[in-house]
Amino acid sequence: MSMNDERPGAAAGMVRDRIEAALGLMQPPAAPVAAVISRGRRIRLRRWVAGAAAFAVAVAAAVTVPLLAHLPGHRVTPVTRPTTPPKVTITPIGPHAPRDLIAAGTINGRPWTIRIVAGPTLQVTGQPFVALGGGADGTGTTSDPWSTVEAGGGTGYYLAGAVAPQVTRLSLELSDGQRLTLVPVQHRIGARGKVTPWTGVVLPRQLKVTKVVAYSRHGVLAYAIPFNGAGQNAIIQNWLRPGQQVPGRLVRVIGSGKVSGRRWSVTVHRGPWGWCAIAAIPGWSGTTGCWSSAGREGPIMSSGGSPAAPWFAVAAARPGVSYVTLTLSNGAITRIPVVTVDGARLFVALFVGKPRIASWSEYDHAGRRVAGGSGTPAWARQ
Amino acid sequence: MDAAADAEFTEFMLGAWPRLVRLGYALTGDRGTAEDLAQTALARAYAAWPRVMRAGDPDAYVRKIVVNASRDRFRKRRVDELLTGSPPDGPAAGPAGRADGFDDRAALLTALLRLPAGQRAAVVLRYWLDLTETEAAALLGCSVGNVKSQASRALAKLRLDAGLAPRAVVSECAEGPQQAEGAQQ
Repeated sequence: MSMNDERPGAAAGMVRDRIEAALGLMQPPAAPVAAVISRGRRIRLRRWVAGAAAFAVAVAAAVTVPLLAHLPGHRVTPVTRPTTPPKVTITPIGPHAPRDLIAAGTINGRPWTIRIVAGPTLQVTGQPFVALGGGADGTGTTSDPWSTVEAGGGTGYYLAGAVAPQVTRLSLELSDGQRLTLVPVQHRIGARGKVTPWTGVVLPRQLKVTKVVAYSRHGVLAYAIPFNGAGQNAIIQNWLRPGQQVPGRLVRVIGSGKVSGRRWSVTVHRGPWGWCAIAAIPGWSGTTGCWSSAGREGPIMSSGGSPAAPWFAVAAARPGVSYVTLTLSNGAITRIPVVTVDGARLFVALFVGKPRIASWSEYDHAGRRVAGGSGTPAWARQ
Repeated sequence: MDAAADAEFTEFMLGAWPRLVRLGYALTGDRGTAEDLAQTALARAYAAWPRVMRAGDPDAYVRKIVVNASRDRFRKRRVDELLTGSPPDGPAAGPAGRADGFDDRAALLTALLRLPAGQRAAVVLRYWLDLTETEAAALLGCSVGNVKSQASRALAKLRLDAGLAPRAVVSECAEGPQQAEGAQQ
């Protein structure tokens, strides 16, 4: 490890991993979100008052106190203590359990089950929400230790999916410190399907999965840090081997603006989960696209257009592309810059309604056209 | 701030909280202080959330507040600490006979918390947060040369105190069922 390097080299990655593991012994309590937001509002209010006082010095002393109590949208809430988190348990699936049952447990004593029913479809019952999600792959095979689908509604959500054959158990760490152990259950999809292991879990919305560890009979096989940002439910898509260098976390806004008078933005979150782009666009809720490698090229996510919501696309540019232009059917030309975020080259296109793209071009930093074509480019198709 | 921004901040905070508390703990050696620093940083971020998001790096924003606040706390408390000489909080004692690398991690954490504040800050910012020497120097308000020498001395002490060496990492991975090394939230 050279101390002359501006940034520590690969050997120092081991030092980082050791320090990370050591600091991991210190387990913080649950995040006091309500208390922090309350305190943040008081800080903002103090700043507002300080600013207002500069323009009304003579009046502030007489009216500030009653004014604070009646400002709309700035009600000062008392600091609240974190409430007791819900208790989640896993019920072992015995040899005489129903064939379609792949997981069961309770949340605060209320039972839940996950079954694979005809479709194949995952059926989650026993909680205030009932999710009938697709995503139970007909083959049931996976190269990842656990290939999950996630969905939810109301007060809870579920994770479920096929498990790699060599995985003997999965350990889930939750945001309140609880740990759950999932043991895969052998399941055959359909009369002639291959028997493969499956498992799942149902969780209350306020509990996030902060880590998943997959074990084989030899020990730790791999682990994953799910993405829980922006209201997502534990997107698991990047499995890491023990000792593997872990990508640092960063958050970047790669596109923003106003459409029909309302703000929109697309934010990229990079971390141990890989990469996720969150689109906060009026008319669309919680649109997320995730991928595992900075070197990805092509579409990440796109919407259809509608009278009520803009059309948008988020994509990764090929190497050397500095900006993209789109020529619409009405003759308008839009220039879209490519934003580089730690090796990923990303851009966002957004229009009101559903435009017809007449042609597109890609340019390098010197303004040379490096690619193009007519109609909708591949990266903008759903 | 509207509900969507509140939800966005909440998700950011849930992800950033464990790491910020551990950063505060690594810098101050005190658990309660670490939680206070993390809460302060996040409350300030909330108060300025639209501006923080436009700048594009909320992690760096809250990290800077934690580091600056920990330095201010140290300046105010340094006299008291020298007089009492009380050691910082150490890791919680684990069950005896664990075969999962707990003792190694606990030894490293104790050694880390025993470092002088400047060395501890340098090694944490450089090797845990993976900042460049320039970024770490800017955050600590000192020169790049100072960061280099502090980090170098810190590593030398950690190697002596806690056996911080690559071969120890390899031998842990070769054992049977164990806790995973690597990133934890």
